[in-house]
Amino acid sequence: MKRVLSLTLGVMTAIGGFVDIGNLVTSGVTGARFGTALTWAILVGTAGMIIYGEMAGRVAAVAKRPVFHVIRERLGVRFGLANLVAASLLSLMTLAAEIGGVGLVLELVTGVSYVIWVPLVGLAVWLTVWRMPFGLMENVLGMLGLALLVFIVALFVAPTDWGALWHGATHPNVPAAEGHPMYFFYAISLFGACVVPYQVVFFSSGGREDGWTPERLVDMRLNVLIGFPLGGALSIAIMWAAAAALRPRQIQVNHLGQVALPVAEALGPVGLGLALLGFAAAVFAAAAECALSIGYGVAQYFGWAWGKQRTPREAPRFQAVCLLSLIAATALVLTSLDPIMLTIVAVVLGAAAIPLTYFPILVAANDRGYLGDRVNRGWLNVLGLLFLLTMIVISVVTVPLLLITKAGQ
Amino acid sequence: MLERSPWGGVKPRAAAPQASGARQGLSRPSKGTSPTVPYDLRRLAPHLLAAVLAGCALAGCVGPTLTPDGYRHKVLDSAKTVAAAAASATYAARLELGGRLAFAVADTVVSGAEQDAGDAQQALDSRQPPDAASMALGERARAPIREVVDGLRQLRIALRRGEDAGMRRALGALARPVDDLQAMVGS
Repeated sequence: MKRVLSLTLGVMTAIGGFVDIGNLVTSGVTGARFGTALTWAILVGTAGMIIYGEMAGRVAAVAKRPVFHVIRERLGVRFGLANLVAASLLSLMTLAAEIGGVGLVLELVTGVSYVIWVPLVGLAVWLTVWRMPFGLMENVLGMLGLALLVFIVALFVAPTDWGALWHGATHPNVPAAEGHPMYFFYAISLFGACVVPYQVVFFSSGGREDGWTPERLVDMRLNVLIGFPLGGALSIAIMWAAAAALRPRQIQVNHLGQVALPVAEALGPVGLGLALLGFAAAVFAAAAECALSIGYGVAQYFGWAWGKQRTPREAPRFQAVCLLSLIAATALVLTSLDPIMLTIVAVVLGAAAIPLTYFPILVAANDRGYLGDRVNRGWLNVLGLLFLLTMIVISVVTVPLLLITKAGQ
Repeated sequence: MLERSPWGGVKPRAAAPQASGARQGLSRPSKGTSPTVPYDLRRLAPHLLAAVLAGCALAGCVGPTLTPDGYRHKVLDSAKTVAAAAASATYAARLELGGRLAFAVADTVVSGAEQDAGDAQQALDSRQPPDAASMALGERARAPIREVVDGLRQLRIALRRGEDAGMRRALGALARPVDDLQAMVGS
């Protein structure tokens, strides 16, 4: 019974933990702008996250090595350093967007400008990273993030035209007013929101923190195979809610509050409250995970002691990196950069950089020196390679699309 | 033996090569493997820098003059943005009037819409119409855009005062200019 409870908790945490400010913003923006025509991008992104999340989790459980340890060991010090710098800078941008996102939610609750909240949010995230036990952080915030299920409920309560939504998703076309560059730019943003580099770093490092062993591969796979798809379903629900309620009114989503309006219409203040709770928990959890991921990456690369289970005295440099990244990200948001625009740019650039993180995972997952007979099966390699090729194409076209579309303007 | 440079500085007179030694030519002797730097260019650099900075400052005040097509695109884009902002504020205000939205959320959405519409108005105002037809198109869009921006301001004020009647009045006033803008975008 205890094991079932533990598994359920893990899966639910994975659902709540999958969604962050990137998913909230990109799903809301694209739903209002393209209807359900970009649902496929979430499906592809979630599939990629499942494939590579499973590989990273397996390497962490069997070889007892997290992502950046593998990157440095298998791809060398220089390539690893380039990878570390790129991943850390992107995670820093994402962290800034997450901190700004929590500030935006607090603005929606209190009416006080998000800029005022940002330093307090930065402090709260640091305290969580520094003091809160790993399991408690993961479970409490993951469970609260499940409040986002209210978007699925709202779709069923409101008079939703399911036929139109389904038709839009299964017959994707580019709206006449948008053009192909804009369509593919936002497809990449949705894709990038599902496969952000920090998530896989956190997932594998968190596996080490949780003490995964080969015997617990089932736990890890359930998290990946049930939790991540349901997390993807939440992103789709947010997009479809925006498509059903905002697109017919020709509303463009430029602010986080607009994403919650369909829930308010369907379920009133209680639904709205749950949506805001889900926003806050999901984005706060993502901020903590993002800060930890930067610390994990740097510490694993340089071979320092790391881990949230260790006291700050036992892993001072790891904690210092987490703290410094939080200070830098907080300062970045305080420059009054628009958090929504920052989010879109961060997820799109993250999609471009993702092969740097995923390629070493694919290499390690085929290494018998690490995994023995638990290396990738042939079909998994085919899927992994197909996905990697897709990511490489995305890497090539992302920056031109970013410039052509003026970051989706 | 100096003469006034056309850029306002002074330069050695070309007729006195002996006195100016290495400066007689256009370049100083290079040091080591560093490339030679034209001497006059060094003296011109501050002026060039000032000119570039002044250009940038002017460019920041007024947007670039567009082609007629580009200007038309800008006008329609502004009209679309302003109409979308009004739609967002209207949706939030109706939910607030129906008791389905928290005040802080309604206020944030309406204020955000007002900001977006104001930004689009300013962006359009900063563009120079390239010809008479473009100017007429711009004028056609400016009136409803101004009305929407004013209407959104009225809506925000009424919302913050908790005046339901004022909100309904502001919503009513938004309807016609929004229709005009949507018709323009659709045309």
